[in-house]
Amino acid sequence: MSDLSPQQAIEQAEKLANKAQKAADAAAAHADALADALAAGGHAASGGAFDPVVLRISVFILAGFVGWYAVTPVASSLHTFVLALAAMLGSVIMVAGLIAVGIDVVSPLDDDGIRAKGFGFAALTLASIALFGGILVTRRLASVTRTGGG
Amino acid sequence: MSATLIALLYLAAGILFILALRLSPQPRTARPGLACSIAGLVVAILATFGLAAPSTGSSWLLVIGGIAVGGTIGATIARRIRMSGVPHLIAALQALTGLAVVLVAAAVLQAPDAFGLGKTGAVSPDRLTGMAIAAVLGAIAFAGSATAFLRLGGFIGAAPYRLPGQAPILVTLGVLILVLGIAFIAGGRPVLFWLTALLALPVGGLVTASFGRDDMTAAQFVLNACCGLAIAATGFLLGNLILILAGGLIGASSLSLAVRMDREGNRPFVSLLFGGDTAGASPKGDEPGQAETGQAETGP
Repeated sequence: MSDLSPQQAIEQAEKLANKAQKAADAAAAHADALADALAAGGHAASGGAFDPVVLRISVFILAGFVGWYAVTPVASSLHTFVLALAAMLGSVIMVAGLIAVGIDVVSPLDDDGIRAKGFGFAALTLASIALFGGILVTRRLASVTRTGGG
Repeated sequence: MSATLIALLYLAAGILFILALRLSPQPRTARPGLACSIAGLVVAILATFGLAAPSTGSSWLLVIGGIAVGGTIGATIARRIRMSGVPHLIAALQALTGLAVVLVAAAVLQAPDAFGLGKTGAVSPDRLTGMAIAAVLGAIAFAGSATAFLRLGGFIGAAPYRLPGQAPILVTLGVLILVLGIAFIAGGRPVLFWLTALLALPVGGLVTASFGRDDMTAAQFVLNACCGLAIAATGFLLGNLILILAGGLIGASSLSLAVRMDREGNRPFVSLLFGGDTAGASPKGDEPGQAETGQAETGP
């Protein structure tokens, strides 16, 4: 080691530091994975016995049944209003747009991350058009249709 | 914000959505129903800020910019349009929602790492399934609603239109989508994702074009159901419960409304949609929502 010039020593130190950084990142990732596994395991041990995927599927199927039976026959004067309202509810996809815009892009060189953020931004903008446009149109329809409660 | 609080807010939003669906079809309760649906959307969106608050200034700028630009465009169009233009405006808004679903799936495809789903190429098959279904149904909803927009706006003729040999074309497209979709889920190759989404476009367009102008409301309810299921698939992709809940509610209720409308108006759209001609239109036989359409078909 003694025959290293100072410059070489610095280079080696930098290399080592990079390696340490990578190892730390990997460790952090492992810790995250472990925490997830522990949470899932703890959930199972605590009697919940739910795989998150099973929970999601349950929610989806129950939502399907509720949605199917919740709607009552539509008065024919309200067809357009109810369609507008159902379409407006679809703008809940804005939630996904928000998540996609909010992702962390590690560096300006992270092309994939930047593209993903771009897609997310486009989705958020489109969903906002659908949300605000939908609310205003549905309100207009409610005001011109005879809605006794108004 | 703690995860528990967010989950409870999502639950509240879900309850508001259910109330909205329950109340809005009746003239007496239509306005409270509208209020519930707006409140549900606001709660869901605000809770999401707690779940995934942008961590940098530039992210905040993008979020605020996106909402401001989109909101201004949406509000301006909705204010300016004449009452006669409302039906095709609704179709246009539905098309944008469908496109947004596809874009979200594409965002996750680009950088699954950033969504905590593992490196590109190592995403688990259940997430890829959600991604594929979201892309296919979102693309169908987008193309179908765009077609509805063109027809309702008078940009194309009002009469139903079918390609010669439409049935075999749709079946072929359906089979191709199914095969490519499964290949995508198995390997996660981005090319296959885009191909599947592209092939879904003509399916939505062709099926919707076979509805005449007078039957378009029923078709739009079905497209909205498609969009709802795509939103639920996005929920499975991101592991987000409000998307699954709202998507399932929208999907099932829109189908239910379409079928009830059909019974009332004696319009044969169920046979039109699910009859022999368009058997290939629903390649996702494993979708729970599709099982319900099966029941609906035998009902009337």
